[in-house]
Amino acid sequence: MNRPKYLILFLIGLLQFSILAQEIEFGIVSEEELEEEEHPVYSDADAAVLYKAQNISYGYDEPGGFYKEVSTYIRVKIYSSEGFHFGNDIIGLHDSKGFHDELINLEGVTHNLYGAEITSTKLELDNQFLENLNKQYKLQKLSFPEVREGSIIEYRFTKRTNNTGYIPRIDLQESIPVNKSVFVIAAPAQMAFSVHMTGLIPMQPSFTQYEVSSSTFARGSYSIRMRFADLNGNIRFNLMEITLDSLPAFVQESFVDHAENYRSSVLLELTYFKGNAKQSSSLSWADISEYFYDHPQFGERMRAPLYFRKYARQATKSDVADLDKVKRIYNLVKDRMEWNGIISCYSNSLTKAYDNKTGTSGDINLILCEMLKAVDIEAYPVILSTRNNGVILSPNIIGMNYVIVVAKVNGKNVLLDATYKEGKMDMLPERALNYRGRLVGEEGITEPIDLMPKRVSYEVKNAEITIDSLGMVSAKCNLQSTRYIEARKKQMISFLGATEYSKHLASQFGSDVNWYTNSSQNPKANAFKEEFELTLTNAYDQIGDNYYIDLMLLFGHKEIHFQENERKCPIDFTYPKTENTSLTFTIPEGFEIMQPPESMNYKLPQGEGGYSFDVVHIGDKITIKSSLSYKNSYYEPVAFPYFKEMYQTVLKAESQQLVLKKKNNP
Amino acid sequence: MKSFFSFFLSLVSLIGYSEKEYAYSISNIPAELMVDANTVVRSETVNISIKEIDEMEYSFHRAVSVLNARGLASLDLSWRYEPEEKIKKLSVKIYDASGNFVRKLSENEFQDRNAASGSTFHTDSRVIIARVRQNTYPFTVVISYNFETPNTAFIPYFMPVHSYNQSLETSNYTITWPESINGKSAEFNLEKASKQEIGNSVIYSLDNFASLNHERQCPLYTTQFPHARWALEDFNLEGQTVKAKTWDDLGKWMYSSLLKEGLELPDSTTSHIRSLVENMPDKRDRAKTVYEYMQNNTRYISIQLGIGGWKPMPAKEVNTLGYGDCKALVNYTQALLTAADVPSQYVVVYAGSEKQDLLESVPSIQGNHVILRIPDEEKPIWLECTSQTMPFGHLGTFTDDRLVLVIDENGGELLKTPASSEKENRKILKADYTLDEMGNLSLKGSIEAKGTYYQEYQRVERYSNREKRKFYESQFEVTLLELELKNNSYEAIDNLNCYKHSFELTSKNYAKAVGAKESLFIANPILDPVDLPENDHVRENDIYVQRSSSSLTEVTFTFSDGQSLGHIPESKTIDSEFGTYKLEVYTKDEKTLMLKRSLSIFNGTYSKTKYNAYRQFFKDIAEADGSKILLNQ
Repeated sequence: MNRPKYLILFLIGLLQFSILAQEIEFGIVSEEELEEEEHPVYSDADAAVLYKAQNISYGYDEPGGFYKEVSTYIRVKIYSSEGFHFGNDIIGLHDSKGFHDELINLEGVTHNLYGAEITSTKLELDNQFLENLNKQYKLQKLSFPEVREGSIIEYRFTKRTNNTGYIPRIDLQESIPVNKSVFVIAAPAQMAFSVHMTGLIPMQPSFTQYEVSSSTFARGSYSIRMRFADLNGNIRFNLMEITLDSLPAFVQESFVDHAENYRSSVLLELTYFKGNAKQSSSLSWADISEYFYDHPQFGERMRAPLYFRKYARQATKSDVADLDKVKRIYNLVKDRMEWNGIISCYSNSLTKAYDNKTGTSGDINLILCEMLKAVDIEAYPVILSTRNNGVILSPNIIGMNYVIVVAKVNGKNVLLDATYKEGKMDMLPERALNYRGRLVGEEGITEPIDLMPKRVSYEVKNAEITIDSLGMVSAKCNLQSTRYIEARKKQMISFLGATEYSKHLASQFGSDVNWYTNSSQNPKANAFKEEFELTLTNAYDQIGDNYYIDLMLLFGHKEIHFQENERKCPIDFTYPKTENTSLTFTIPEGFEIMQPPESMNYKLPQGEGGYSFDVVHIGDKITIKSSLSYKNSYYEPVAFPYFKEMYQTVLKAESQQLVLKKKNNP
Repeated sequence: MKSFFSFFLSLVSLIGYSEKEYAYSISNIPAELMVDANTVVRSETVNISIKEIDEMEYSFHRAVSVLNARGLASLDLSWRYEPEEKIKKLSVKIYDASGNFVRKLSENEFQDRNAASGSTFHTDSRVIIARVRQNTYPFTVVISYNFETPNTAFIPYFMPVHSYNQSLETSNYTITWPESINGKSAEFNLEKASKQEIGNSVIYSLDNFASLNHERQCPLYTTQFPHARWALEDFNLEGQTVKAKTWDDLGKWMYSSLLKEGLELPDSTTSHIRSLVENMPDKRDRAKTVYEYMQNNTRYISIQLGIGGWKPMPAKEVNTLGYGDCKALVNYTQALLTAADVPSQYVVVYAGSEKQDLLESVPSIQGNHVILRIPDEEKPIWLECTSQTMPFGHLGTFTDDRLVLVIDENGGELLKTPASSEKENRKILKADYTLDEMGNLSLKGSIEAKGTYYQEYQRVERYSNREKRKFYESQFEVTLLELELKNNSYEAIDNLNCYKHSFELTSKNYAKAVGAKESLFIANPILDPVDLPENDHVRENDIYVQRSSSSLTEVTFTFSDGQSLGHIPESKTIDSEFGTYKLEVYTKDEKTLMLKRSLSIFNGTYSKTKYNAYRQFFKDIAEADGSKILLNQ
């Protein structure tokens, strides 16, 4: 699988004191800007960001020590009353033991044109509400005065924090068009960052270096000067700047793994700060592996094998094959442990979690890993980022939020996640299907682990359809599903309950469900089986002596995917799928087929799958078989036209009519 | 002897243990309470003690068995409080299916946070939220806490069953209030409950209530479930002592204490408004001008501050800020109307698409929203002030047809907001279908939506292209192949009372070749298909249709040269107590077929025994709508 390089990685060193390129002056707007009635490019925009600048810098202060400042300046134009809510904003401030964000220099103003006069109304204290959200966060809420159609609001503020290590995601793109977005980070050369960029619009960072007198930077601290300054008392700074022009509004497409992967944003991670033990200039995957292996709530937790040994050995005999051992231990942990819904790759105590039979994903899968090792299986934790957390392509600690287990059996990787009751060996929950994870071993041992499912999830539908002498059309249906389709169905049934689920089926076919059964009580079955009988409403039309039967009714109404003319994001199906349908139709006595539906098919290029629709007519039965499949879980946007055409073929085929006519009496 | 004694002791403790710990075993739930239940309330005890006009305490204990994921989703684990109120000894414990104690939620599993969320931008109310993370069912959650408040304006209800699909084993509710104050109540559906009155104290109990199964179009919750609400004639609301024996008293208090002083406007605004309405002798015109001025110059932000969120921000402030919550905007509009010499009234209402009345027998602080009324002998005007786009004089489903408190300087009275009739809730769909030789469709159409349809159709303008295509497709019976949407435009017409869509679309292969390849087959080109009510094999609830509505569809169908009409749908009329339907089909000329379809749905509560007939009505409509056209070519 080739994942395009939407994220790129490179390394820079940097620090403080850049000056925002002030092409636009705060508080000064032109009459033309205020008069503008619609966005020149995106005329249906309710509002647009005319200018957005974000600037990160570092400094040193006695006695507080190192601090980071994030300055933001935003100028927004409101075109219509639907855009009025852009007159409100919320600034989140961290405030907990240890970390403290301070909001400084907040100012804001609303500009309006009344007649020929520009009126500027300041954001006053009355328009600001400071709210204690919870123990960790405060919210500074702003609601700008006098927001009208045509208004321009602008505001700027600086967040100063002692949390120098963490940098929140910097979004350059918004849900409304952005005319110009500038991001600058400046830091002393002794700090190094890894930079990740997301989005579909190419970014060209520019780098410069400059020097600042150490007294300016450190305000009198001798030790800091000694640490950072050169012989002349100067500190060297690196500066990175990214500018994007004319950004369209960020819009979410269907079949996307995680929308934020495609928003134009910058993610920065501090990887090196002089004075820390680590002297490498960048983080490698080996460093990440080592970090986790040494982490007190990760690797450290895994070095108490004795506790689990007896449980593990009770569960498996030493003479069984390794794969069998893995299966038994996996089932033991999966059955015993109840996932508490918390996504984490860490554990506070494996033994406590094991005794309580409940824990986070970190607790449960690290227990699984320990127990496998206790019966001499080569097993490792694999750290990863969940789908909701975005894809990670370059070495990164904070992005890793989940852990699964890989067991190496007979040279093959077996992926395991014991939090997922519907799962099987080599079948991870959907949340974990996010490109690649990283194996964590001793002394920085690591390797990439492909998380994407290779095995196809099947859905097989068979229906026998009859028309009785009263003209009632009924269908006896038999469905089988495997893997992810099976899991999704089971989750839905368990949430809706059997009655509501059968109503849901009925609504898909526009019919009544007479009875419904499934095989959910049989966990040994290879596939999940469902059987039910439908009575179809308005399934055919009688015109003269002919019956017209709408195939769409029998296949179930389909949502038409990929109607758009173009596609920007890759297509993410989550897992490979094959869907086979077979409808056998008994022609009622006294009738014959006037015209069978036409067979058709469409093949995706490179044997990636496709769609086929075949009609077979034998005796008094006509069988319509259709099959839709794709072999991968993920496709590049260039594949879009093929999928579009495939789904058009599906519609063309399945919206045909089956026409029966009365036989002429001989 | 000693050993016998200790054996006896241990036996006692064993019995004691089993009674206490296994009380929550799921197997103890009577079978009839398990039917259709997602949750079973095992026990609820609420003790309310009002000691003084400004001192209320209550203890709350509730044990709920959660039988499935729907049950867990319906569990409310949030507790709201004001800065001057205290929640004490809050505890949430979990027991497993056999009634064994599993654990108690630890302190860090409760989040104490500001209550602003979603619709509220800012408030000083707080909320504590907990989450039970549990994937195996069934289990039991036991919640208990004590609450202390100086506010006696809001007394917790007696309402042990919270929702459909919830059963109840046993419940007790006790309320005691001071002798010096009169208490009054509104009681509903208490046939199965018992009530004891002892002096200034009332005890309700309800036992063995089997769950009601939720179905589509169920009657409103309030008409089905046992509940009682208490209020005091004298109460405290954030330091204000209120005496409200009648709704009139309450209105007088609200006017003089909360509203009166905030109605002042700057002179410049007053004179500006006067100049706007200068040449308008008609009150209605002046009111409309003021309403539109307000809409263009303000935006709605929910900021719940000031006497429990009941005192509006003064009009002067709204005038400078250009925003406010519903109270502030109603108050501001009132001030503007006064400047235009139009008297108006402040109206308190329970808002929501499900109609809810203020409870007449307990004059007290009720409602969750305010609107505005302009009195008029012929036709009073009602105004919603939180929308920039709502047409003048239109309330919509948010506040229609319910009892509300209307307040002015003379006091307060309960009145009903207008119900919308089937003629008012109307949409008119018109379309010209043109078919080419290949069976491709091009269509030019319009939709006019009024009344309750207004907002639903107004929303479409903001949809993305993909959502718009989906929306228009949903207006047809069939799936449209390669649907392309062009020239769609949106406007409010008819004095802003009607919202109009105009659109053009094309679709490939709309008409499909069938049979001997000489005929084309087309679904009946009826826009606006009906939804078939679900098949509830045995309907358990009466059928509740909240609002009447009607629609008219007019379609002109033009086909191309070389095509001629084969079969056309039959005209059809259906009359029933639920509504009426009429389809008329006629040929205008050789190339043109006309279809006219009108549908009316009548509101009402219909007996559950009529469910099959109700469903048949829609089935018959769907069948008539679905009949086809055959063209020869």
